[in-house]
Amino acid sequence: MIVHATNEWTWDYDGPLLRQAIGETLQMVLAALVIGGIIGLVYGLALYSTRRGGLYQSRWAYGVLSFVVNLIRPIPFIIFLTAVRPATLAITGTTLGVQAAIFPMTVVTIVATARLVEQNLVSADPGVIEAARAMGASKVNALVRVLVPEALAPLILGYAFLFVGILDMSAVAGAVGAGGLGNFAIQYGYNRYNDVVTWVAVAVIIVLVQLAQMLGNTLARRVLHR
Amino acid sequence: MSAAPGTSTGADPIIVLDGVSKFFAGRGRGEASVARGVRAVDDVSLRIARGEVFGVVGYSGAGKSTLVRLINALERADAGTIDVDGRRVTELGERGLRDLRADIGMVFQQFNLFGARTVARNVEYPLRLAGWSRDRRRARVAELLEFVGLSDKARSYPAQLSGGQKQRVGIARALATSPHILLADEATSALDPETTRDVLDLLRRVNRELGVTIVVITHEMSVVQYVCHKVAVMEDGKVVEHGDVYQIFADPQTQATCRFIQTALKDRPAPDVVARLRERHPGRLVVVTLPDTGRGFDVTAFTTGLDARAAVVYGGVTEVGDRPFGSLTLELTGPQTEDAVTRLRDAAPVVDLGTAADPLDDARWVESIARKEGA
Repeated sequence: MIVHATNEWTWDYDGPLLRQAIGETLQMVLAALVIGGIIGLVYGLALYSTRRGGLYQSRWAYGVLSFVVNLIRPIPFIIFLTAVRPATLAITGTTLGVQAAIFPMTVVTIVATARLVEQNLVSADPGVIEAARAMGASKVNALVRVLVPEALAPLILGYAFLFVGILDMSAVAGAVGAGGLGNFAIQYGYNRYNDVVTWVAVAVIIVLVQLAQMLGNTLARRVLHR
Repeated sequence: MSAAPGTSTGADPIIVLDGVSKFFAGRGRGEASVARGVRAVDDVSLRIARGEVFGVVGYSGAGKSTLVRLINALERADAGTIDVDGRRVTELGERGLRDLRADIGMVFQQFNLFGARTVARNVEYPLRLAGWSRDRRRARVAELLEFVGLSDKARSYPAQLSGGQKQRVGIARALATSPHILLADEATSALDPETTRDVLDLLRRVNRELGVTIVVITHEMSVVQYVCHKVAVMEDGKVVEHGDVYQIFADPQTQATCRFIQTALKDRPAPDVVARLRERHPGRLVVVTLPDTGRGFDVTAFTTGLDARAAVVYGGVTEVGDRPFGSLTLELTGPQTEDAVTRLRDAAPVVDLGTAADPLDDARWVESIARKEGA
C-alpha cells in the first residue's frame, strides 16, 4: 500500500488543534516553571548554605540533598514520566492528561533549578553575606534579602534557560495523553506524513523559546545595575 | 606625657581580649587536622580603650583579619575570652550576637556593598534590621549621607561610584545604627593614596565627632601613623608588640615592627645613603631623633657660642599619633664639634656615625640597619 504525504495545512481542521496544543503546552510549562522554580529556589538555597563554609554547613545534609538531585537528573524524562506513575496517581489522582504530566515535570524542574540556583549563588560574592551578618542580619535574612537579590540577574537568565528544557520535557507529555505541541507534531504531523503540521509545531516552539529568552534578557537587564 | 586627642588612659576598656586563639583545621578530621592546620590567632590578649583608634598591623596571613572578626564573632574563638562593652562575646548565642553586632559597625576592603540596591537602600538595610520606622529610616539615611558627603548619590547604584565613594557608603552603612565600635578591615587597601587620605580623614571625624572607638586593620604603617592612637603589631597569629603609636615608632622592639616603620618613615639614612653622605660631607655625621618637646627643635642651640657649625644633610619630620616625629642627620664641623655632640646627646637620642675619615657604627644603628636589610 502506498501512502501519499498530504503536506497540507487546513485552518478549519488544524487551527483549533494547534490552539489547543499551544494552550496545553503553556499550561504544563508555566505550571512546572512556577511551582518547580519556587521550590527549586528553596532547594538551591539549601544546597548552597549546607556546602562547606556555608551558613548551615553540614556534610551530611549537603550529601543527601545533592544525592537526590543527582539521582533524578540523569533519568531520561520519558522513563521518569512512566516510572513515577504511582506517585503521580497518589498526588494528582490521575495518570492521564495535563495534570498527570505537570507532576513529573515539576519534580524534574525542582532538581534542575536547585543546581542552577546553587551554581549562581556560589559565583556570587560571599562578602555581602558577611556584611549583612556583621550588621546583625539573621542567616535567613542574609540569604533571602541580600544574597538572592545580588544574584538575581543570572538567576533570571537561568530560568529563561530552564524554560527551554521544560518545553522539551512537555513534548513527551503526549505519552500520558497530556497533548501539547510535541504531541500535536507527532500525531498530526509525523504519523500522518504531514510535514507541514510538524513544521508549524516547530515554528511555534521556536517562537515561544525566543519570547522566553527575550523576556529573560529584558528582566535581567532591569535588575542588573551595572 | 602629652596625650593625643581622643586617647584614653586605658582605664575604661571597651574591648578586652584575653588569651584568645583561633585555629583553622587543615583537611581531615580531629587532632591531625589541627596539627596540619593554621593557628590564625595565637594566644592574643589586648585591651582597647573607649574612644581610641586602635591599629592592628601585620602582613597578609598574620591573622589580623581573623582577630577583628573574633570581636564581632563572625569567627568564633577556640580559646580565651572576649568582652565587648561588658558583654562576653565568647558566650553569646545567635540571638545575642545579632544584638551585639548591631552595636559594632564594620567596613571591608572590598566594600561589600549590595550591588542590587541603591546607595540609600544600602545605608537603610541595617536600620530595617533594627526595626526602625520608615520615616525615621529616611531621616537617618539623609543624615548619614550628609555626614559622608554623598547626599547627591542617594539614588545611584554602587557600580556607578568610585572606590572612595563606595567606601564612604560602606562607612555610612556601618554607622547607621550609631554603633559604639567600628571595625575597619583594610578599609583603604583597595584605594589610591589620595582617596585613602580622604577615607582616613573621614575615620578620624567618626572618632572625634561621634566618639566611636575604631579598630583599624591594615598592612600599611602609614595608615597607623595617620589615624591610630595605639597599635598592635601581629606576626604569625601573635601580637609581637603593642602600645602607644608614638612609642612604637620611637622605640620599636621587634624586627617586624622595624620593618613596618621603615615603610612609613624615610627619614633615617640607609647604609648606601650613609656611604654617599660621607662622600659629600667629610665632617662628623650624627642622626638626631627629634624629641617631642612641644616647642619644636632648636637646631641652632647646640652650636651657639661654640666654634662649631651644624648643617642638615638628611632627614624628615612628620606626625605620628598627632605628635611631631622624625630625625635629622647633621654634619658637624669645627674645632668644638665634640662639645656640640655632647649638648645634642643631652637633648635628644643621638646616633653617632663618626666622620668619613674615622667612621663609627653605633651598635644600635648597625642592628637597625641589619633589620632593614633583612626586610
